[in-house]
Amino acid sequence: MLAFLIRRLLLLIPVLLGGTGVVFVLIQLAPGDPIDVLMGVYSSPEARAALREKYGLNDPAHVQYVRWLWAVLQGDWGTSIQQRVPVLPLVIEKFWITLLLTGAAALFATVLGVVAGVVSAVRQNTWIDRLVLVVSVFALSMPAYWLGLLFIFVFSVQLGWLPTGGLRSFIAEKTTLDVIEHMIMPGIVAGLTPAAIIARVARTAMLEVMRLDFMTALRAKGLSEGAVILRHALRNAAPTIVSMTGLQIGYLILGAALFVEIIFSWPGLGLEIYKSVIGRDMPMMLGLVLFSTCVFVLLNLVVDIIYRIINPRVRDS
Amino acid sequence: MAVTPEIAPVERPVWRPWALMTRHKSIAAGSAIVLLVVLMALLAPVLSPYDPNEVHPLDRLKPIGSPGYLLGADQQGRDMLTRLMWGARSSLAIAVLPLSISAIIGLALGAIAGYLGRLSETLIMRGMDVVFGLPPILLAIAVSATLGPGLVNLMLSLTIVLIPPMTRVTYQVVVGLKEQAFVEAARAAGASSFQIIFSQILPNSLAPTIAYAASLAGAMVVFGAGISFIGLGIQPPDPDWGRMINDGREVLDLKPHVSTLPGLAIFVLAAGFNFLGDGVRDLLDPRMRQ
Repeated sequence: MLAFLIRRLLLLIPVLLGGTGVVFVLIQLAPGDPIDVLMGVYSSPEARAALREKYGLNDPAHVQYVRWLWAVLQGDWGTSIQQRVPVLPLVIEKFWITLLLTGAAALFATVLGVVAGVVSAVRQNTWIDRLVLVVSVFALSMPAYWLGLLFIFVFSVQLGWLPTGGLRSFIAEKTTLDVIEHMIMPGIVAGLTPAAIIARVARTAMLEVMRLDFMTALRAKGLSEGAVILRHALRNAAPTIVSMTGLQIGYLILGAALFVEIIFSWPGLGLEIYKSVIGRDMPMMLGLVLFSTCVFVLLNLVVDIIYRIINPRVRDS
Repeated sequence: MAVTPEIAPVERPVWRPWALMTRHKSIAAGSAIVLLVVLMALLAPVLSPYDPNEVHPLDRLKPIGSPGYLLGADQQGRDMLTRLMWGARSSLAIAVLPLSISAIIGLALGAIAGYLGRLSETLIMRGMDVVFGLPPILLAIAVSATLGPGLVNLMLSLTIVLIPPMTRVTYQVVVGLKEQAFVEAARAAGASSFQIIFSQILPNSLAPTIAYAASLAGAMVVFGAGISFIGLGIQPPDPDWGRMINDGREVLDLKPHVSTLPGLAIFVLAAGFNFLGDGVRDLLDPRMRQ
């Protein structure tokens, strides 16, 4: 386990270096000259050249990359062009807000997905199995940015049950209940696609375990069907389900939640990325991408570690 | 006298589309939907009642079923039906082209890394790990934003995002194939690595890679339209489903048809591709057959 941990941590270095490298290349390719931003288009060529030299923009790309990486490591992530504040503190603040939403969505997706997957595997080829399969295909095909609009139209505009968006009300009491009310629709919309994927993976994993011989042995031993399914089959299928769920949560935090945040004006990372794309705020956008990449990589590490803990077959290899 | 051993004839899959359709309902349903959208896209210039960008200021926000506007009109009085038909073109291109191009690149890289091994394996697969380490949606957005909005750049960014998973799938298949007896036999017969990759490895790794690509087509429709929705895809005034949803948001409470119809179109096309992908995967991956 220790050797695995060390190897896995060492592997983070090239991945993070590569990830930051990609972000750096994107910064270089991004349209616009930083000198134009600093001095305006009508500055004299001499002054421009001097400033270019001063900021090291004439250095070879790899020197600039190392310098940029050093600044990033020290917490200097640049300044947002639109909001005129340092990028890193803003990104961290937004991250917690996104985590709140994705936490709720992940919980919803995991519970719904695992239950649906297990039930459809146990009742394979019955109407409920087919229903889960068809509904999961529909859920996979449902763009979150469309489902969100339908939800707003039905539950907010027509029925008036839930707020259309935002993190909390402007006028009402700022209570936890208020935040939860704002979280219901975006949480369900963001969780639906991952729930469908988890359900399909859980179904396949359960079916693979359930056709093994030891299941017959357990039943012959006189165990109740419930115990066979929950204590043995599910436990054996768990590693596959957990690793898929972890991956889905990663995609959720950094992907699906983006569209949901835009539709529901949820003030997290996703909405911030949208605003930075619309406002051509490259430092902000690349800071958000860099931060998300680090979170994604760390989350994958955590999933790998959990996978090894709950799967004795690979624990000691 | 040389003894020729009796070899059982290899059962070749026979191409019988009709039997395929009746036996696999999800392929039938999926291909019917996709075919319908393809026809709609191809025949848009003939069938659509108006020019997609033709504005009729007096007919702004006409509801569904108005005379002359079967599916209503948007904020500028452009015919929704016409724009939905034309918008099918970019949605199909976004779903199919990046997948095909990345599948070809992934097949090549995966075959090289898997078969040759050593340095090429380390370079290619570790390189893919790095790109794979970035969250796909953000990578696509970052690349699109850097290159500038537009259909070609959007497809380019999607291709970049798709290359690592495609390479990985092919690589895993090729590593398994490499040890098979028929590859051994080709090597013993003196075939070069290049010949083996082309005549043995690639033909046999095609099916799993195609099955994988097919399973992603539905997701690509949703994903690609999502990037257009953000404003990084097709530029106005040209019609695109993702863009149309975002443009219609401002009138959602009064005229929901403007943003919900293009969403419905994305959903239907994605469901068509997903049913088709499920069917193709069941067909090509015998383990999934029950």
